[in-house]
Amino acid sequence: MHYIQNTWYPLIFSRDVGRKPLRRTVIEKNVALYRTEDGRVAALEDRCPHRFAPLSLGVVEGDTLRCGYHGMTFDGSGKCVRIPGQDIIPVNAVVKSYPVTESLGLVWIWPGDPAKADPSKVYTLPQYHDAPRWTAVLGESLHFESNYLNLADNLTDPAHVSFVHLSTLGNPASENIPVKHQRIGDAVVVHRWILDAPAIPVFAKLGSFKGHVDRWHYYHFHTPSIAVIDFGSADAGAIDPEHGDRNRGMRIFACHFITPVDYRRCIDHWVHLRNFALGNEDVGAEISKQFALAFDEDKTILEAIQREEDRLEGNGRKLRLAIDGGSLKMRRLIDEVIAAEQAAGGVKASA
Amino acid sequence: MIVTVIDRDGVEHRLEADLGLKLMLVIRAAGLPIKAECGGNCICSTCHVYVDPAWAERLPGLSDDEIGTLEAAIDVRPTSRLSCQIIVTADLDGLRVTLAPEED
Repeated sequence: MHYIQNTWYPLIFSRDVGRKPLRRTVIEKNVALYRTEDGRVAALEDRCPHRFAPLSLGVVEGDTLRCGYHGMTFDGSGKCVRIPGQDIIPVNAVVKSYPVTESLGLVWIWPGDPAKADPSKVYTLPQYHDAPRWTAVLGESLHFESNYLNLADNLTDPAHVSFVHLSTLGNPASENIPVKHQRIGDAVVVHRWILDAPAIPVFAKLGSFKGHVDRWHYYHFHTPSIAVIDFGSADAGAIDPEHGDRNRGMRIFACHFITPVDYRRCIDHWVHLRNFALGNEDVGAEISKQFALAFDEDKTILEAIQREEDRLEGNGRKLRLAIDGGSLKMRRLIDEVIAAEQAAGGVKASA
Repeated sequence: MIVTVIDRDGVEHRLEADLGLKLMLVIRAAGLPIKAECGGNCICSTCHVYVDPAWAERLPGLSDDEIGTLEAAIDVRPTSRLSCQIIVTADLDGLRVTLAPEED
């Protein structure tokens, strides 16, 4: 499978990386992760060049990672600094190191040409740093036995919410309301407003709406695998749809930072931001609980789809319906970036 | 007004078309075999037609969405269009299109 290479991929919650090495896989590359003494994350190809043992089974010593098999030791740049039993360190005793950076409570990795990796270009959300107006809550790492593009389809697709998430995020009022989709630069935005309808279960529980609400979904997809779903509700008529200030309603950003593991696995690191009940941990935990329920509903469907795709071995053709415009634009965007990388002569391997 | 649609067996169908309709709807209403899976939303390319070269230049241009969807279609030619993106207008009286092959 082809993936975008020259980009920052979300990899793991920062809280999960410490002094004990661990393995993560992104776009079919196995990476050993650990923190150096000053707290920076090091990311090395997870294979000792000696006998191919995973370095993640080794031990961190100071700023270095020692292979658990024969003790070959590498620094955070992948350079070998010790080979037990000999004094000479040959030039090919080296492992790839990957550029990494941290943003939004996550570690991000650059699998492509390291010379192009610019940490200032990593994805961020200004609201994450706006504590007076927003509260951010880090959620969970949800493992899917599913191709990441099928999950990205789901996250550029407001239409499924009316059918899959009836106990949490949706209700039938939205079933027949068309979704609008557009490409805005390097992002795809899919949205719709549902006017004068009952509040969805989550907002009915947390809000104090008098009656019907106007509610919105704005699904933002950014390459390579980032989905931010701005959704919320306000008393019917309180906010001008399309042009009004959505901050005047109850507003949540459900953020999905997806690690494509390989062609049939991915990990969704989900986070939410909200503009109400600021700092209230009980409310944060309740929203996370509702999300966990909802995303598990997606997982059930997406994993069943993956099993069917496995069984069909690439045969079979999916219908393309009116509701698929956002997903189509998302896939087109990714294909376009991959084609541009390939036209530019492919991607140089990491040093 | 009349549009002529040539089906996949080469048979010509002269169809009466109401102004303002999507050409896809005219073709479907005549019972010709196009799927129009996405209901006329420029997403699926199953209403793909070839416009007679004499008419191709006279149609309004393609949107980015139509170009993108046609890129994923099969047997695309310079005269390819999605019939859901062609609105029947008075100046298209006599338009001739041919149904493109169906995807498997």
